[in-house]
Amino acid sequence: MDWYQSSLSQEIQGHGMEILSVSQVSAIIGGVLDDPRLQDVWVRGEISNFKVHGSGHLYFSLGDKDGQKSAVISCVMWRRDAQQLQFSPHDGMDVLVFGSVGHYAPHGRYQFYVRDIRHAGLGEKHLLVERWKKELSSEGCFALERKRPLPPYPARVGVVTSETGAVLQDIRNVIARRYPVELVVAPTAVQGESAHLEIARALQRIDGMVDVIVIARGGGSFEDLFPFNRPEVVRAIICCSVPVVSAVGHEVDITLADFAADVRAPTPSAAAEVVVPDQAALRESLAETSRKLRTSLLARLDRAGTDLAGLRERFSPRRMERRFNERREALAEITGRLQRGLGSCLALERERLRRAREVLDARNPVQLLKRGYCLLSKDGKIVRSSWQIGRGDRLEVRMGDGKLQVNVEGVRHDQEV
Amino acid sequence: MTRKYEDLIKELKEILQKIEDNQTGLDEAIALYERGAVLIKEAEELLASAELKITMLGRD
Repeated sequence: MDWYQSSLSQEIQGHGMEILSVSQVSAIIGGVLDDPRLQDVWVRGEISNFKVHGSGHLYFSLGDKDGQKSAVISCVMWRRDAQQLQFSPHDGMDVLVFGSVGHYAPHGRYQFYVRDIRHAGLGEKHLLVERWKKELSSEGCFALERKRPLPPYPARVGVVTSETGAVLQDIRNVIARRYPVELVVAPTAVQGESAHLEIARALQRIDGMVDVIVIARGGGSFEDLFPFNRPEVVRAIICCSVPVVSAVGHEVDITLADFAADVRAPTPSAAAEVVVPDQAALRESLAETSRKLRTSLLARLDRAGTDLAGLRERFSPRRMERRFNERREALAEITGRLQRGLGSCLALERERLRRAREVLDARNPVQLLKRGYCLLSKDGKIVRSSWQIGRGDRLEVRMGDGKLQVNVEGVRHDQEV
Repeated sequence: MTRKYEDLIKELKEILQKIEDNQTGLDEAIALYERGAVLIKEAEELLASAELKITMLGRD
């Protein structure tokens, strides 16, 4: 045997061929499957052999629906991804799975590692909602400017919902507790193929009969809530003449009806709380207003009393006399000040005048001449220096009371003395 | 509860404002107070008389 094997090996190698180990083959398979066409892809098929392992991982097969060319892929979905699923997959379900093909070497098999599962057909509906959303949004159906404020004290509240079921009961209970008003209910189917048309008609029917409308539905799957995404419902909401409050599904579910409504409430009960005020708070507010009325009137009376006391004081005879005296004193004082002021003013002016005259007199050349000085001029010009004069010059002498013509016999300058 | 309640509250607010205003004459302030007291009583009666009523519309 050993001999045979070794000789076979030798023969194969002799042909220039290589002998691979299982690991090597497995690695090659793994490499081949690592093809971009098999990674991160959506695959549509039908679930079979569905099993939830104790660990929480999901195992199933995915097969083509038509039985003719039957092809099957083994699938595994790890617990972490499986926990994110909004529904429980089961055998026979038509699904879209997202993931990658991989090779599991220890078992020598390839499988599809699933990261997400969707209802086939549902994906198309999601796309449809996205398209409607874009269209209706561009029409301005969801514009914030459209949103109307809710009436603070509605007399009648309209409810568009199923007449059976907890939603109507919840709304009824909350309104009965907070503030009992008249509820007008427009019953309608809230799921099913033609529910959207019924809802739109219910809105039209109730509009004009009430002060505010609540459109509500309990929680459900994306498909259950689908009628509330339909354009017919969105348009019926924005056509209502009174504000609309929406409460469709749970807080996490947002439908296009919610975008169109004037106010979106997270649940039907919350919608009921939004549309009516709280009676207890109203009573408290009334009591507060009553207190304010009283205190403001008392304050007004108080002010009137104060004003009156002030007037009375102002009109008392003693006060009047005192005021007359005050006025008289003031008058006397002003008169005195005026007179004093006038007197000192005159004296000041007189003194100023006298000084001015003195200054003027001192500068008057006629006065100087009268005091014995004289003015010399030569050829009509006043002579200021002996150097301007020479012997034989003819000069004119101006005295205080007449003129002389003189001839110069000699000049002696002061330096020459 | 009706539009009437809203009107009552609105008038009450106006009355309060007028009484607090010094320009309002004393006679007028007293008359306003009396009117306010009547309005409050009316509002309280409206609250007390409220009752839940359910009207179910027919389907098409």
